[in-house]
Formats: sequence, C-alpha cells, structure tokens
Amino acid sequence: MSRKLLPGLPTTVPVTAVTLDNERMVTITLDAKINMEPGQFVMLWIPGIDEKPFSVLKPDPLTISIACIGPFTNKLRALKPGDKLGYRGPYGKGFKITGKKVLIVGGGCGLASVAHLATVCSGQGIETHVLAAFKTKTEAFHLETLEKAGCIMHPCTDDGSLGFKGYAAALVAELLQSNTFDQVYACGPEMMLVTTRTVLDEAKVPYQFSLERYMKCGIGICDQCSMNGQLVCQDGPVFDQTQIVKLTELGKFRRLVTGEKVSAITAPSC
Amino acid sequence: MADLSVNLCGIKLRNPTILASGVLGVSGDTMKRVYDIGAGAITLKSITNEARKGHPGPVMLATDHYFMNAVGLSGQGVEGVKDEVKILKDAGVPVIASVFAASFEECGDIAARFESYGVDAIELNISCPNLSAGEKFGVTIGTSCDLTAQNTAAVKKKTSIPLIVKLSPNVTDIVPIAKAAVDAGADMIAAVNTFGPGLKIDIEAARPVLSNKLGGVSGPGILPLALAIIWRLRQAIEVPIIAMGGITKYEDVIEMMMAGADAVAIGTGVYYSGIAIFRELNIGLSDWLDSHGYQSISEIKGLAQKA
Ligand SMILES: Cc1cc2nc3c(=O)[nH]c(=O)nc-3n(C[C@H](O)[C@H](O)[C@H](O)COP(=O)(O)OP(=O)(O)OC[C@H]3O[C@@H](n4cnc5c(N)ncnc54)[C@H](O)[C@@H]3O)c2cc1C
Ligand SMILES: Cc1cc2nc3c(=O)[nH]c(=O)nc-3n(C[C@H](O)[C@H](O)[C@H](O)COP(=O)(O)O)c2cc1C
Ligand code: FES
Repeated sequence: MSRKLLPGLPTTVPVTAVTLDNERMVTITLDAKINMEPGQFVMLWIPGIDEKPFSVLKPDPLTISIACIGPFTNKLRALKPGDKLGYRGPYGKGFKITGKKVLIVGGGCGLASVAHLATVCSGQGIETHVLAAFKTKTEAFHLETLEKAGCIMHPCTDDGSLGFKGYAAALVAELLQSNTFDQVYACGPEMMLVTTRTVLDEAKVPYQFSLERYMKCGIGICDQCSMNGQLVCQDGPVFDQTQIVKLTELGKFRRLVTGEKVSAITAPSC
Repeated sequence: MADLSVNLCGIKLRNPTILASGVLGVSGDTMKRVYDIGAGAITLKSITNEARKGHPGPVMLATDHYFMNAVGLSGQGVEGVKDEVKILKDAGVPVIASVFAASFEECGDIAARFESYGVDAIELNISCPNLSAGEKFGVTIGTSCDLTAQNTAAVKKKTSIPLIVKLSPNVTDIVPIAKAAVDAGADMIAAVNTFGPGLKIDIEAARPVLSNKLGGVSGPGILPLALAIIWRLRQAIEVPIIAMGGITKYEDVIEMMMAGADAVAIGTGVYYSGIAIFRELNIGLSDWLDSHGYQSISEIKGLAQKA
C-alpha cells in the first residue's frame, strides 16, 4: 500500500443552512470543514437515497452550490437545517493557480465549480476576471458574492437580458482582443467548453477545464467516468490543454449510468 | 530476469497478474491503460444481454483493511461492449469476458457473442452476491452443485474457447462446487468472488452506508480466507486456478502461487495502490524470483503444498 488512501466512507453531519439563490440554484452549508484545492469535488450522500458528485463552493464551512435539475438535486433542495447529509472527499485533481491575470469562465451551474477558484485567485492578488454565462438573467447567481471578493465580472446571457448578449465563447474572444490572460479556467456545458477551446487554441492562451462525467465511486474503481481511458474522478476533473487534446471524447461521447456511450451534447445541462 | 509468463489452457500471458472483473472493466481505453501499465490480461466487468443501471449510490465503500461493494451488476449489455473489446483486441490484449444471465440458454448465447468478438476466454460469473429480489443468477447458482453444472454445461455447449467458472467463497464446502463445474466442462476455476454479505453502518445517519445495505467484502482483510480456499481447491482439482481476493503486494501473489494458483487477479488492489499496482507487482515478483534463484514463476506453483 504505497499511497495515501482516498477517503472511502462518508462523513455524516447536519445541514446548517439551505438558501435558494434563484428558481433553480440552492446553496447548502454543512457543519463541516475540509482541506482541499479549488476544483476538487465531493460525493454528497442523502442517507438512504443516493450519492452524487458536486464541486465545493467553500471548504470552511463546507458549502455546495446546486442546480436543481433532477430527482437527487431536488431532494437536496428539500433538505432542512438539522437534516443529516453525508460527504466524502475531496477527490480529484484541482486547478493549478498560475499567472498574474486570469480569466475564469463559468457556464450555468458550472460557475459553482469555478467560484471557489475565483475567490482564491482574487484573494492571492491575481487580477481575476470572471465570465459568468447564463441562458437568461433569472438564472444568474453568485455575481455579487464574486464581485465582493474582488473579481472583475463579465456577465453574459444567451438572450441579452443581462450583460453581453450571446454565447460565452464569443465573449471570451472579445475579451481576448483587449486583454492578455496568463491562464483561462472554465467549467460549464460541454458545447461551451468545445467552442471556448477553439477560441483559446487560436489565441494560443493556456487553459484548464473542469470536466464532468457520470460518477459512481469517485475513487477510481468503477470506470464509469472514463474519457479516453482517463478517469475524470481521479486524473481530472481538471485537465489542462495538453491533456484535453488527447480527450477526443470531449463534446462527442459520455456514458450513461449503465456505461452505454451516448452523444455528449444531449446531456441536460444545468 | 525470471520468466513471469504463464500459460492458461493455451492462452499465453506475459505475467500472471489479471485485472479482476468489475474493477475498471467498462471502458476499452481504461482497460488498455491497465494492460499498458503491466497487467497480463484483462477481465471485463460482468455483462448480460441488456443494459443494467445497478443500484443507487453509494455502491462501494473502503476502509484501510477491507472494501465493500454492491454495484448491482450495472453494465452496458453485450451489444454495447463490442467496441470496448475491439479496442483491446486491436492492441493485442488477452481478454476474458465475464458473463451472467437469467437463463442458462441466454448465458450460452452471450458467451457465444463474446467468442465472436474475439475474446480469449469466457468467465462464467455464478458468484455475484449483489442481486435484487427475485434475480436468479450469480450466487444463486454458485451455491448449488446442480445449478453450477447445468450453467457450466450450457455455456460450454455454445463456445469453443476456454471456459473459466468463477466461484463464490460463501458456501459450506467449495470443493464439490468446483468439481461440479470441472465435470461439466469448466477448463479453469477462478476463486474467489467477494465474501459476505458484509454490512457497514454509518452511526450518525443510523443506517447502512451501501444503498443495497449488504455488500460483498474484498480487499486486504480477505487474503487469508481466499488463500485457504485456493489451498483446498488445489488439493481437489487439476485444472488451472486463477486466484484472487485481497492481493495488494507481490508477496501476496507468491503466497497464492505457492498455494497452487496458476495466475492471480487483482481487483480492490487498484484502490489501495492505483493501477500502477500491476507494474509494482511484476517488478516485485521478478526481483524476488531472481534473488531466490528461480528461472520462472512456474517453479513456485504449489511449492507450499509439497512442504
Ligand atoms: C466533478 C463533478 C462536479 C459537479 N459539481 C456540481 C456542482 O457544483 N453543482 C451542481 O449543481 N452540479 C454539479 N455536478 C453535476 C451533478 O452531479 C448532477 O447535476 C447531479 O448528479 C444530478 O442528479 P439528479 O438526480 O438531480 O439529476 P438526473 O436527472 O439524474 O441527471 C441530470 C444530469 O446530471 C447527470 N448526472 C446524474 N447523476 C450523475 C452522477 N452520478 N455523476 C455525474 N453526473 C450525473 C446526468 O448525466 C444528467 O446529465 C457535478 C458533476 C461532476 C461530475
Ligand atoms: C467494485 C467491485 C465490483 C465487482 N464486480 C464484479 C463483477 O462484475 N463480476 C465478478 O465476477 N466479480 C466482481 N467483483 C469481485 C472481484 O472480481 C473479486 O473477485 C473480489 O473483489 C476479490 O478480489 P480483490 O480483493 O482483489 O478485489 C467486484 C469487486 C469489486 C470491488
Ligand atoms: S467515478 Fe468511479 S472511476 Fe471515476
């Protein structure tokens, strides 16, 4: 046994707060704190129901930002302070913080996966630009919190109801016209990542993306999260541009709970 | 450098370490990576005709000493797995396909499909303990000599590649079951599947951790139990034995081989040491054999039985 073992059991603690951020987003705070790098994730366990992967919004106290899009996430929303929730982790490789000026792109609930990174970068004195992309204004969340943390905000909506009108990749291209970023970080719907990547490759800007695949174990055993043989739970979820070149399944295939391969862009994005 | 290669009923493996069924056995690319890092062969996760979701989470848990799972035989079905097998066979990887089904007929048909995909051997899983109510495969079969013989014969009839039957340790006496399998046509025996069932309760939640409540136990804690089973099997049957259960170190492999195993499989060891375990085991084996003056790993097979 040559390595430090990954956490193998949930730690079950009371929920201390459940806050609705908008119609779909809820923030859950637990009576716990963890040591982690921005970009790592935990498995959340509703005892007796199911267990699913979530990024960490804040490690102390452990806080998770959740898009309520299906059975499990809606059960999370229904939790009340005092209810028990289990977590295990942190798992995976987080973001490597580098440079003096960075752009952080969060699409939809993907913003939850990069919000902690943005706060940490800003706290370290890095000039932190955050591109927060939503379908429409009513889906926006965390904008004020990030602004208060010192981030320079660039909101964007598909319908123009808030900020830039159009897709994230278009705004990234526009921002690159007048800014030089040392590193770009992104998490969001797979189509957003694919289009953003093209823009970044053309501009030759280094980047790190946080990817999502169906996860059952989080500890490198079930193979459910494999992308081209890389385990997103362990080798990722954060990959840099040199690794992403080899992930040819990005934007093409993902696996269902059974392991069957289906198109990656049909995923209901949060 | 000592020769680590083994021959299992005509299937030549460059070393005796096989990836056990159900651990990293879904993606052809992942399994190829496991082979590239050092495994001698790969076993696919057990597959049946249709796609299965398995149980809700948690489907597994780990401690320093043991591991427990109740995945519930999730899988993409025999059709979907064709492309994964192709990735492996195109790369020259020896592949064992693990199969199970609700009827013996169907089991034979699935095995025949796998044979047409070009796999090297079939492993009949009659030992999975994590079934839902009413499911009549896995350990339901592996605890009965009669059913074991019928299922083995049904698969043997429809295939011509070597047939491995994988046994459950959760029986009063494993020897008659192994003999029933061999008499019905099994070319090899794999042992053991997980022990149990086991149970882990989260005391703060006041309920079992696994969604299935009960699960199969694997990992370092089961090694002595598995080893004793290999010991007893070797005294009772002649066919090659693929030994598994709790292997995390090269010394464990040597113990299994000295008890009489022909090859070993590693599942949970991947949690304890990562996929590099296959490289580490083989380096350890090779160094140990060299330093003890053995030319080949086959020389240590059954050594402890002669003592
Ligand atoms: C590393 C990682 C970090 C994540 N971080 C967050 C986060 O911070 N906030 C957030 O709201 N969501 C996050 N997610 C997504 C979250 O896990 C899913 O939205 C959630 O599991 C949906 O469950 P459901 O039952 O509500 O919806 P379902 O209707 O079951 O599924 C809706 C969508 O979620 C996906 N999904 C379902 N189960 C899983 C699973 N076990 N693993 C991965 N995807 C799954 C499905 O493929 C589908 O696309 C993250 C996912 C991963 C892999
Ligand atoms: C997560 C997990 C899933 C498993 N799935 C299967 C399976 O699908 N088919 C099977 O025959 N055995 C399965 N097993 C059992 C292993 O192949 C092996 O027999 C057992 O775990 C003992 O070996 P180990 O201690 O090296 O893991 C599974 C084990 C684990 C830990
Ligand atoms: S989630 Fe199980 S291997 Fe990644």
